[in-house]
Amino acid sequence: MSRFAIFLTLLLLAGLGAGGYLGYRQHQTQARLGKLLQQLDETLATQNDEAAKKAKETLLGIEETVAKNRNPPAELAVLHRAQALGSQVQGLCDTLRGWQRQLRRAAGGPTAPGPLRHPEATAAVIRLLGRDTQGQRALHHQLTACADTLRRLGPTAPAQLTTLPTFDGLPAADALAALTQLEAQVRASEARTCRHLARPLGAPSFPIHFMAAATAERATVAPGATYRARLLVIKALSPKAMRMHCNNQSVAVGPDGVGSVRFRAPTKPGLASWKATICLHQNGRDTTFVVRVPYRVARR
Amino acid sequence: MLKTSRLISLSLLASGLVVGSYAYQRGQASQAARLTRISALATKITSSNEQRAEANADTERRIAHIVCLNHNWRPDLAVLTQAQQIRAHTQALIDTMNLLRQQLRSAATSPRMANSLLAQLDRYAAFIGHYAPEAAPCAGLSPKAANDWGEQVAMGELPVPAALATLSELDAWLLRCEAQALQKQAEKVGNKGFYFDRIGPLAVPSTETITPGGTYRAQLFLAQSGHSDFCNMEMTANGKPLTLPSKPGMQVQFAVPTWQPGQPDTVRAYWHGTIRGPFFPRDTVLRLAMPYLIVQPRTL
Repeated sequence: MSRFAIFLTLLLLAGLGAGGYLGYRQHQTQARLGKLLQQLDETLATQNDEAAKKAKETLLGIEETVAKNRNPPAELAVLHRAQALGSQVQGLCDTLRGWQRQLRRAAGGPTAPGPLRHPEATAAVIRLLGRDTQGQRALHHQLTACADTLRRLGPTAPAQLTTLPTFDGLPAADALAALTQLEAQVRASEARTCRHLARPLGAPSFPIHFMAAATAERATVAPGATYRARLLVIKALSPKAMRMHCNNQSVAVGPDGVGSVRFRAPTKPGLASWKATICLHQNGRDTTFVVRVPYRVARR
Repeated sequence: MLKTSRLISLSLLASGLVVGSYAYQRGQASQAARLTRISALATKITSSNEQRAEANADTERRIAHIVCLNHNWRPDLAVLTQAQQIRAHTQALIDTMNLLRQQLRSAATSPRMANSLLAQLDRYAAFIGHYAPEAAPCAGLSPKAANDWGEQVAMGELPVPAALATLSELDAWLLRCEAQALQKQAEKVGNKGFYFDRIGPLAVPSTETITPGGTYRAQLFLAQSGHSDFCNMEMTANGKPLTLPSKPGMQVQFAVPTWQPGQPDTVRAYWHGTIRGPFFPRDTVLRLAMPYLIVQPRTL
């Protein structure tokens, strides 16, 4: 036996040993990652439950708003679109949950989220959701239909929704996570679309903004004297069709809904007042507000 | 004969090495796929976390608003203080985790950091249990799990994306606890009154008195007057806080600088007002610059 052969054998044995160690390390990391994946899956599933609850509340909110606005046909149409979307998404999510239950059972886990006995099993995944299985085709069909609806109603197309992940070769834990991830994507798209649908509903008939304003006691002040004024905050409404008048004279209204009143004060000192009028068109009715604003003309 | 068997065993060893390295490659690939999936799930969880954090901030603002509407009734104020403590505790922990995230990304984690996180998590669990007793314990929070995690991260046994995902999951748990605790606080401060907001015209003249024949200037608003939006406002004039109320708004008073030789008879000056308020649902600062004239008395 040559030395070379011994050397080769030793080298191969050392290689096998190192490989075994590496393989063991790899297996350990993979198991650790599998456990983490299952934890994340559980957390995301909880968040999906919350998203489902929120989606229901949003639908109820839309229904309430439409009823409060006395069910105009355009708003009823929005409500029906939102309800149809809601039931379609719910159907898809139910399907996803159904597959998850089956996968769990096949991987020796509880039907509710929880640790699996065989997180690395791949055979069951291929059997249930592998390429060209009935389950995969049905799921693909349902997902495409749902994505179409979302695209039709929503502001932007959900890009990643249309593609179903490939389940071939995925371990059970990964397949479960993929399904949960899909559900989260669908729920997020649904929420975005519902917000978009509900935007024109029950919006306040006019924008509201807060403004700062101040009134000085006098316009001029002597050096070394005390300046006095009042600072106040105003919650101003700016409806579109608003007209303002001062003593029956039209007043220019800025884009922020603030009218600039300006007139020459009388020459006689003492108390005086002017009449402010604001007319607006609201819910098919004309409303007019009138108020007398007092002021004081100083002596010279 | 002996040579053949040696040859066979050598080739067996070699083929074992080849098969082993192939399996190792496959394992690495599936590990990489699993890591990608973990990161994807963590991203989804993080985006849910962001929404939850926003909602929690809103709950705190809502509590503050109701407390203010109830005229800062002492028991209500205590509830608000507790809500603020809950938010501060959660935020402190989230800040620690963000620091840890930075360290993980720059690969400079020390086991000490992980241990201090563990201690902080323990304290938080005890604290939050006081306000939200039914909050479920975190899956990854058991002292042993957290300890293992710290060691694995420090030894580089856990890939960085996986360590980051664990932190996202912890975030989710924290924010869920916080939400439950804040919800409990919000239930303690019921809205105890009815508040009506009236709409009407509001004129704010630039000055209250006017010289005979001078130009009267005013801003005219369609304003919503009510108690509900003007809670806990802080007003300042030239940076000094205003404390004297004057209906409506606050009194501004300051001494005008004395006349300096060589100064013109009429000087145009400005004062600056700010209004900082929890203009529900958002905090804003309104700013205003008011002009006034400093005029020598003999020219008046």
